[in-house]
Amino acid sequence: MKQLTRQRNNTDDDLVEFETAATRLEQRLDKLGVTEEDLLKAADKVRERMLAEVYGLGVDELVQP
Amino acid sequence: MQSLFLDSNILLEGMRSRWGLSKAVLSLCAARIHQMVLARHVITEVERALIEVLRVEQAEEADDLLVDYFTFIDKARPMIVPLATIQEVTAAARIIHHLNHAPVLAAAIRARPDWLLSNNTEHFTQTVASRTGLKVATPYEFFRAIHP
Repeated sequence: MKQLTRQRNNTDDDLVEFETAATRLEQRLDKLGVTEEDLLKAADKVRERMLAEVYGLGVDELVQP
Repeated sequence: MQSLFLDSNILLEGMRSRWGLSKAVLSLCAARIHQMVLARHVITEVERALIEVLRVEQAEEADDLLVDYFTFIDKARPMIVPLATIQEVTAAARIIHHLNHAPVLAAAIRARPDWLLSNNTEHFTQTVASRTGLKVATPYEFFRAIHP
């Protein structure tokens, strides 16, 4: 029972810290004027570059079945 | 508890909005109601995207932004899938037909999560789902499926 309570407390603590970090992150991005669209576009470009950097593969190729 | 493999667009949408289904997915993982599964590739991609969007004069904000990002990830206690091998990526590319997304699909194939969640319905299609045996869904489809 004590172990279960401890686990629940740990989970609650993590959830609070998670939500706090999420709120801070959102506020920082707001302040910087960064939109979701900006982030998604940046992630697309990074995904393409990582393909070349990590695997040495060409950019955005359509792979035939 | 179901294991949820998250594409980067779920993380980004969830971290950018206070409410919404992607945010709900992240919060449920942080509450241990579901198990978050993240590819190392996705974690790095989002980290680099956060840096990339900063203008030169905002560069000094990067450290604080990344501290919050890694706390956000860490507190959700994700299962982390290592980088896929080139062989796994090549095999995944034959399924998804779009090389950019092959490392993420390869990681999901290796992790065998209960669900692969992505808002990229153009590439993470039901054809990909049937060819891999993965359940692929948007957060909306996921919630509709588990709360019929």
